[in-house]
Amino acid sequence: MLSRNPQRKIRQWLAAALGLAFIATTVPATAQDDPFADLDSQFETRQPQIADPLAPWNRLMFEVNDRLYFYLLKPVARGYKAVVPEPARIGVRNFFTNLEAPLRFTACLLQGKGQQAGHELSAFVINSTFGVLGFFAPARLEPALNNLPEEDLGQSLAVWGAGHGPYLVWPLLGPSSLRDSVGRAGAYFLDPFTYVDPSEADLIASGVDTVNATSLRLGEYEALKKDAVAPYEAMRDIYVQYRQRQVEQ
Amino acid sequence: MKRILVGLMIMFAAITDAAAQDTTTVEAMLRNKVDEALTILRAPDQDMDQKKQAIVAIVEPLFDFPLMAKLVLGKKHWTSLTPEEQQRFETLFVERLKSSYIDKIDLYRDEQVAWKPAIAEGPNKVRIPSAIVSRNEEITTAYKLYRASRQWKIYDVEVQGVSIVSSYRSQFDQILTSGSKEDLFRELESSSQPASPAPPSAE
Repeated sequence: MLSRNPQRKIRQWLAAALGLAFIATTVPATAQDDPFADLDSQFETRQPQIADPLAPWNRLMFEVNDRLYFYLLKPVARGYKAVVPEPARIGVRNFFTNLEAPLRFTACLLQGKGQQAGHELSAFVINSTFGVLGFFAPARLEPALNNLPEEDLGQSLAVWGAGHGPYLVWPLLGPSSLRDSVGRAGAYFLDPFTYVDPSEADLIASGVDTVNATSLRLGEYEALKKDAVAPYEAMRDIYVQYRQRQVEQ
Repeated sequence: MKRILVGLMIMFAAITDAAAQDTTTVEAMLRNKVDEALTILRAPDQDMDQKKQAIVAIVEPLFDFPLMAKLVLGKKHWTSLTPEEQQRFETLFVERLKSSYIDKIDLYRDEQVAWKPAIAEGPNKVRIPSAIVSRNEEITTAYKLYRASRQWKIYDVEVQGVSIVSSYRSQFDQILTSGSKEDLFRELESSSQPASPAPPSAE
């Protein structure tokens, strides 16, 4: 069937190519005859798990925190938002984030992330000085220092092989696990406010931090709750998935 | 010559539209669609409801909603439903998913979308990481697509490492393990409940 007519050759080649393209469209690649089976087993094996033997307590605390949010935190944060302009609130957030640098630095070291620890240190120095005590975050302009993963001691424990243990919901603090609660307790000693006199300063600082952070996130909890069919389970699952990713980073 | 050109055009169209797409093409396709949606979103002085409609029209064909409805129940629960119940579940769930997506459009202010290179997860699956960047933070997201018979389709979305499908999966599992199918449909139908709780006196 070889022809000397180049046009015909091209046409034959085209026909073959078209045929192939057609086969590619109609015959899906292998294993996709039932995408459900394939993807279902993927989700089944990756489904995050956490033991919840304290579910009655946790559910109660979930309700308590829910009420605290709607009746206390949200109205206060809204009032604060009305008075304090956004750039100032972002500044306040930067300030608190900067003060957590010792914690992140330590958590990095404990995970053997030397380079990242160095980045944390550089960002802390730059933000504390050029960033006027951390209210501005000029270190973010440097790509290597921008969006550093937020390390904490719970993640360090995870890297050492500690599992979550039971799920725990704390009043005011929200979802946690035994492991992450231990990490949190350790973080207390790395928080500069712990060492400030008078000791009430620590409480006031966490109050301001919480209200300020909430003012920048109004509507998010509401959206989460609205999307959920089972809010308590949704929150628990989101917590576990989110922590999982943080540990992997 | 004209016929050859037409033939080439058809061939090209067939290839780009078809399963012959590789990960870079999928990425480009998704980027285009998201860019289209963002252009609509950023257009000044236009009715929000019109914008939403236009965006949904662009985004909707990208998702495999029926597959997502199956995945959130998982094989175990999905096969325990009768075909009528499956149909009912799919309709209710997809409606819910869409309305929650539309709600999110209201949250848009001036965010940018930053794309990262697609990661092939096997020959028929791809993960496209991206980030929503606003003035003061970055939210990491990922689109997960699989190769359907005619084109790539989204089967899951991740926000800050939280998979939407996984999240619904554990919620539905909880409802069906501790309750009945009636509970499942009741929860789904009450989707329009207000986000804030009733006043304490009603308790």
